[in-house]
Formats: sequence, C-alpha cells, structure tokens
Amino acid sequence: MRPALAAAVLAAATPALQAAEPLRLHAGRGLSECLAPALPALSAHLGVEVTLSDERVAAVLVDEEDALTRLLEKDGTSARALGYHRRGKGLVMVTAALARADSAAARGLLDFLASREARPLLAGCALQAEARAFAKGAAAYASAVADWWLPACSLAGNLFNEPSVALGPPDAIRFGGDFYAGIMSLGQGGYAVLELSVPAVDGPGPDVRVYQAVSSEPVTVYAAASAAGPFRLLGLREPCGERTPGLLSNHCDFDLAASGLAEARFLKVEDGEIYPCLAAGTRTEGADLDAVEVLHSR
Amino acid sequence: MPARRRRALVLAALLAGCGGGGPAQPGPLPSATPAGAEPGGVLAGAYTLTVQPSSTCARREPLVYVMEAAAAGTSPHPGVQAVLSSLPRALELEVELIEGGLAVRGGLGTTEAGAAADEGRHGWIHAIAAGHLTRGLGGRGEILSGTLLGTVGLGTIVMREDEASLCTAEHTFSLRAR
Repeated sequence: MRPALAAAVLAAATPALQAAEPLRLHAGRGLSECLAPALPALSAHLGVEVTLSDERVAAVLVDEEDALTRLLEKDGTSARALGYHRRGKGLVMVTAALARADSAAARGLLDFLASREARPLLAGCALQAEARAFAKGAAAYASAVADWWLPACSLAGNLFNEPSVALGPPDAIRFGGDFYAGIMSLGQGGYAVLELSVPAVDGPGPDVRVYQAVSSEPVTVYAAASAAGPFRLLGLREPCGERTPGLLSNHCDFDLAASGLAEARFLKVEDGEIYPCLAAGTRTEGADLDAVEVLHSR
Repeated sequence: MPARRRRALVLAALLAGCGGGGPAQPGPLPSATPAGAEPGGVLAGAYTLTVQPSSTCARREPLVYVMEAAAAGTSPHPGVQAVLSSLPRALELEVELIEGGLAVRGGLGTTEAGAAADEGRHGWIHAIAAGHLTRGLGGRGEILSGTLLGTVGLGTIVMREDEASLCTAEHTFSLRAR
C-alpha cells in the first residue's frame, strides 16, 4: 500500500508575542491523542506553552502528496519527517511542517521534534524510523556519524545536508518535486564518515552496500578500522543505481578485498559525481546518501 | 540527472574497470614541501591550475586554467573555493582545509560541457584533489604537487563528454600563484 502522508502543521506567534502567545499545534486524528501527553515536556523544553488547537494555526491535515508538495514549495526546508506511524494495515509518514517561515519559535519546535532527544517524548505515537522489515532481521547499518563535510556552496544550495539521516536502515522517501526525507545530498565532493554498528568483514563477494537515492549518481567509498583512518579505497566513482525492490533508493555494493582490509568498522562515502556547485540545477546536487549496510559480519 | 551526464558516468565506470583488478589505492598526500619551502599559506587570489593526466592515460597533454580562489565556509571544516576566472560555473574546485590548514582535499569538477583550457585544449574533470600547501608568491599558499583521483578527459569543444578521451586514474596537479 502506498503510504499516505499525514502532516502535523505547526504555527507560532511572532517572536514579539512569544511570551504571551502559545505555540499552537494542529495534529490530525490519531496523532493528537499520542501527542497530548508530550505537550508539558515540549513546553518545558522550549520555554513556551505548546498547545493542540484548531484555531489561529495554519492547521492543515494533508494526506495527499500534491498538497504537501505545495506546502513544502513555500519553504522547502521547513518540513521534517518524524517517522512512520501505523494506521490500520498500512504505514503513514508523519511530517511536521511550518506554516510560517518567519517564526523562529516554530522552527525551534520543528527542529526539536525531529531530534533524537524528542524521541522519548513521542513514544506514545509509536513512530518507527524504518518502514520496512529490515530491522527485524540481522542486517546491520551505520550507528554513528564520525565525520562529514560539505563545501559551503553545497550547504547553501542543497536542501538535505544532515548526515544523521544516513544512520540505520534505508528509509528515503520522496514527497514530490525536489522534496525528500531520509537522504543527505553530498554536494560537490562532500562526504560522510559512518561508524558501522558491527564491523564488516571480507567475505565471499560484496561486503558492504551503499543506498543512494534520486538516480544513479556515483559514489566513492573508503573503509577503515578506525575513525582516524587510514581509509582504503573500495571503489572510485561507482555508479550507484541498482534497483532495490521495495525501496525508493538504489544501491551499489563494495568488496573489502579491493582495499586489502579483512575488517572495517568505518565507511567513508564520498560524492563521485563531482559536478560544479555553481552550475547546480537541483536542490539535491551530488550523490544522495540514504544508508549503508553490512553484508558480511563476524 | 541529464542523459548526457548519465552516459558520461557509464563510460567513466567502464574505463575504470578496464585496468583489471581492484581500484588503485590512493597514496598518502604527496610529499609535503620541497626542500627550503615553507608549509602553509592562504589560498586566495589568482592561480594557474595545471592538470597532468596519469601516465596510464591515452592522452597526456596537460590542461592549464586560470583560477580565482577565495575562502569559503568554516563549518563543519573551513574550506576554499576556486573557480575558472573566465567562466566560474564551468570549472570549480571545492576543498576543505585539513592537517591544521596545511593541506587541502576536495572535488574538482566541470559540467558536461567541459572547460576550455590553454593551447586550444578542452577538458573534463571529475576528481578529488589533495595536496599540501606551501608559501609562494607574496606568502600565498600554493600546491606544487597534488594528486587528482578520478576522471580527466581531453577532447574538443564540439565533443560531448562521453566522446572525449576519458581516463579514470590518479593524476597530478599543481596550483601556483599568479
């Protein structure tokens, strides 16, 4: 079943009225019940009262991609995917979005809701980071970001610059147009160094997999035993466009044997497109990293 | 992704596989400084970029470009941007400062149209540049001998990128103050 989209839209008073006006949050059916217990903690964290309301908010419940895309086009950086929420037999992506881009307080709430710190507060909503059964198996993915870099030009031009989205299993989704969740666009020659939850070992055939969204942009991948390196090359500018059934992202596989390493705990995934940032034509320039997976472990 | 870019990438991948065996390991950054040269310096101002294709490439004529460099960003690491003076969008270098600011590493790339170089040559580049900085003219930073890991192509202005002589290997480059 194609996941429908539900959006909780946040609106806030202007900064000048922040002290007197609460942050009014509209959440659709099924979400308001699980969010209500979290409101006192949200309010305490932000230093302003957060309330559920249907009035004086830019209250929009969206279950169509087109409607959400129109909302995101107003300010593409103001939407955050919070995770999947079970509705009936299917999963629905829960997205928090701003109605007013000029509200610093609302942006603060949005950023906090998308943070790991907020996860315990949202436990009542049973949000799942992964939409599919990967977590049920023995698959291992990246568990921490050790380092990352994007050139300033790419940071300014791309919409999706957060390396932590590459942790865990592949979960990229596309809302429409240039709007995604769950990807880090690597820009011109940018990279992320990811710590694997378990070391990858050199087995028969490929040992690690990189999930890359949008198209078949190439990646260069290095591996190392420690975060400080030395990083050994696994593959140079490899097109990463093999279809992954059931996922938005494509993938490409790499063999530790190419590096001479028997085992690796860290992967460095680097943009292999290396296209001039100033000539960018999209908001997702460079390879778009979704996740990495260990194919062979001890 | 434009179809032209997609075809160029496929060709580059095929060329990378033609050498047989695994990918060549990138060496450590090239020897830091020649005798008597002082490490460091700031990458800023006008430079001559010379790209020397690998000895394994079918065509080895150097590509020479006039570039303009400036500091670019500080987070998560400080960086430098250098662009082709005559047409900034055609050829761009984006590097981060590493090793305490004494070395750089990052991407050097052209669009699918390539970039016109000196002596009537036309080049395409998609590679990771790395090198140590030495103090040069006026105390400005230079890279006397850096590595360029990726694809360098030579052709003519009327060619598509996938028609050029593309070579994926470890090439060398220099960036000298003008």
